[in-house]
Amino acid sequence: MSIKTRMIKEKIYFFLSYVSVGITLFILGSIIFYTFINGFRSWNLDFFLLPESSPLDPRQGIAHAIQGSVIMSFTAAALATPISILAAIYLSEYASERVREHINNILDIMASIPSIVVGVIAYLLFVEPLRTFSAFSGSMALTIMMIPYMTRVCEDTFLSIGREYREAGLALGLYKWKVSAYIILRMGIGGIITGFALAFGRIFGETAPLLFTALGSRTFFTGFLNPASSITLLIYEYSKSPFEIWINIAWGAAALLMILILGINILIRFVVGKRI
Amino acid sequence: MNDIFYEKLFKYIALAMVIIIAIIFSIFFVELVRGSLYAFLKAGLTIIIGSIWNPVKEIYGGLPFIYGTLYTSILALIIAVPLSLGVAIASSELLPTSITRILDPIIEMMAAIPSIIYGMWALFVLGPVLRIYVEPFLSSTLGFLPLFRGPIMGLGYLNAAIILFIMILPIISSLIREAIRMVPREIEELTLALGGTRWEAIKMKIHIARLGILGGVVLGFSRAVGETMAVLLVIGNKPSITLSLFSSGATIATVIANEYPEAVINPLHTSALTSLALILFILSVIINVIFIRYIRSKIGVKI
Repeated sequence: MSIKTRMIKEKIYFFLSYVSVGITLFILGSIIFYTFINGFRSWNLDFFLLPESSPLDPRQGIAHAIQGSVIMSFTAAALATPISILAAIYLSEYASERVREHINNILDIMASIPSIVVGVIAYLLFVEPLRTFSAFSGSMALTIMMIPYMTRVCEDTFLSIGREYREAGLALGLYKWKVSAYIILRMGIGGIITGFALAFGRIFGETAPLLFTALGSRTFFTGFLNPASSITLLIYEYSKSPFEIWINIAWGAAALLMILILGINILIRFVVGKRI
Repeated sequence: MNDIFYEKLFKYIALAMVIIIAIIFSIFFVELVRGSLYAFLKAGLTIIIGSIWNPVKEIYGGLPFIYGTLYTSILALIIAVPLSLGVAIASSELLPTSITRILDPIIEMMAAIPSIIYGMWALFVLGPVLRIYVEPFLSSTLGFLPLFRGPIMGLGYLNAAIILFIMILPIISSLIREAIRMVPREIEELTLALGGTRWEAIKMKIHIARLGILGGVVLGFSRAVGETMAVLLVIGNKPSITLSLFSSGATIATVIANEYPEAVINPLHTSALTSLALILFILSVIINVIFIRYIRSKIGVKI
């Protein structure tokens, strides 16, 4: 092959490379553009303050879904965060190399289980024995989703803290638990916050584990043992519906969700500057 | 004295959390097996190899769903892999750092967008585009192939494959990018010094990074296999075994999502769906344990 054809080949491949970046950005742009353009149209005071009404009533909103999402996600976060942080401390400070490796394998596998399967498991574990779809089962499904991800991020953060800080603490006569609590946790707080924010964003946008645990509801939250709605469940239900007004509301809800999730990610990636 | 007590207490509480995680994981498996036992005892291997799924007549053959899952995922990979390679090469080799510093996080951010939003976009934006422009064009020009036959709806295997490829592209491309960046500079310098073009140097790097690249592809595949919501909205939810890209279909994940809430009244139906979940679970564990761990042990990189 002459150098000329080789150079032409190079030009073609480089061009194709740029084209793939272009296609990717075009698609991403299109998704964000359509979500916002269609979504903002349905934003008004009613949208944020009122619950669902009949599909003919122009005055309705997604307040019940926002409430359900917030309650279930925060319940899950409140359960998963202490478990994750303590487990990460154990793995990074106390566990032997072998134990850590085994548990890490389990965590990685857990994190990769499809979310719909987590839904089935939460159904079998909580919905069946309780004999009702409930916000509680939904929260538990989200907790199961959150734990492996957050534990891994925290563990990696703690492991990245240098030996000498632990040794300095021990040399001062501190017990190991005080080293963990006062030095490791304190120094790793940035990583913990990052892990929490990303994991929270992830469960906040989950739909599949809630489909047959929380089920969805048309009213405001009525207790943990009753079905509850979430923003994502509402988007799913409304997208399938034949009513224009509900489809518009679904776009509005999608725009809200998008802003929340992109907001968390931009804040973490560009402001905090930590990349996970 | 007190301090020693606290030391022990702290350690055991932390250990308890690890044990909780291990217990949760074992319960996963036990519960799935327990839930699917009834269907396996009653229907046997039909769940895996039977090609008819009809809950009303109590026939539970899961093959169409296994087929749908693999068909959509493989189609998605066929589109996603070359594009991801292109993006990864552009970002690791061609574009200046000032641009990639912004571009890389933006593409990674695509992975954070909830799948229900991808689904909505595919249903309301991509669907009409496929129905009005793409599918009529394909069927009139390439209609002699079995791939492009059948009624045109904008929903079905093609739409599902496209939205899946969009969803797995960020993860595959960022893993390929990292794999290429791991290759030592000397490789590039050597190729250039021997009179190779820059493209030939990049080809060399890709060849050396091939295991890492394979890891990214496998991980993308496992994501596609388990994806539910986006596919659920656009695939049409009608079990079918056909090559036609225009046809409606269903995947394991979508049939579970679709039928589980209504299956509650029928234990056999629930159990059959649970056994499909078990198949999906085993599939994702196998992909993770065998492929990814194998590749990781070979190249020593976190995938």
